[in-house]
Amino acid sequence: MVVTETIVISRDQPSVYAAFADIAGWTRILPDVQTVELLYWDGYNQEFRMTVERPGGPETIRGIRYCRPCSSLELFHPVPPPGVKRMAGQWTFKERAGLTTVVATRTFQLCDDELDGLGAEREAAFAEILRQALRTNLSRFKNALERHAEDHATSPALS
Amino acid sequence: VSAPATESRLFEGRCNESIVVRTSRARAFAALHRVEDWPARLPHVLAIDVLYDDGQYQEFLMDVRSDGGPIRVRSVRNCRLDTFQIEFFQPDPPAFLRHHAGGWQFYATGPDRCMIVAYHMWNLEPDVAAARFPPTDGRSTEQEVESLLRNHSLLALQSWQKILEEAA
Repeated sequence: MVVTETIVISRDQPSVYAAFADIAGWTRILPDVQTVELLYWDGYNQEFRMTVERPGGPETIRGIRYCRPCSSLELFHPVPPPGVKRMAGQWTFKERAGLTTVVATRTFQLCDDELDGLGAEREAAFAEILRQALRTNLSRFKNALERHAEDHATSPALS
Repeated sequence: VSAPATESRLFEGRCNESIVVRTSRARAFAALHRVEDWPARLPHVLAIDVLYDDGQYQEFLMDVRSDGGPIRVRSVRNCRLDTFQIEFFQPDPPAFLRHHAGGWQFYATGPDRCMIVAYHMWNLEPDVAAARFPPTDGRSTEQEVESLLRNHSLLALQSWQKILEEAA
């Protein structure tokens, strides 16, 4: 199943891309991200381990990203979240008139033992949780990026 | 034909080799995609342990025969059937490399002809590389490493040519 969420951020495309690409900086933007360990990074291929706070306790996932400045980030999880067999997706970035549109897409498949006759319902429920998480995270990036721009715009007057 | 421009500018070293094989592009791609079959097909591949494979993305451990004894490498691959490209990187590269990535590209050059391109991209771990491949008269450490990876590409391409054409 595919889940997509979109947001418009009033910052230039390179700045928006850089915030999403800087996986180590996610701890400053997303409060539920506890730690990020960058395992490999050559500027294009990226491997990381991320621990996220969840209602049931901390959850650690490992991710691989392909970073294409400043147009897209492609992602998959060789160690997906519990109960998920496949989790992949991407973020795309497009700027127009100083506004950057970010489209976050995720494709997922639940583990077979999660689908015991209730496949469609469980998939739909998981998709809704994922959609909400994408929406929340995109909003947090937007807030961080736009607040950062405001801070910089006002700082000369304060000095 | 060469490594993708966007990615290759991130690496100080790169090389590519190609070969034309009497087979279809789909068969060539499938043979390089089905990594679990490699030990039965490639004599230098001793074992494959697939850690993840969803059809597009793969992560596996590969035991390879080498002059110094078997070595184990971990490879992460993005296999794009829509563009007939396979990208890979080694998250734990050999000590003389800081980064190592590359890929395979497949081009139909006739009804039953496929050009396979193998490319490598890397950044050296300078001190380790210099100790392992000391400069000699007329050849730098960088050239020695390039020669090693270029030979790997050529050997792999020649092996796949033999396998695919014998099976045809």
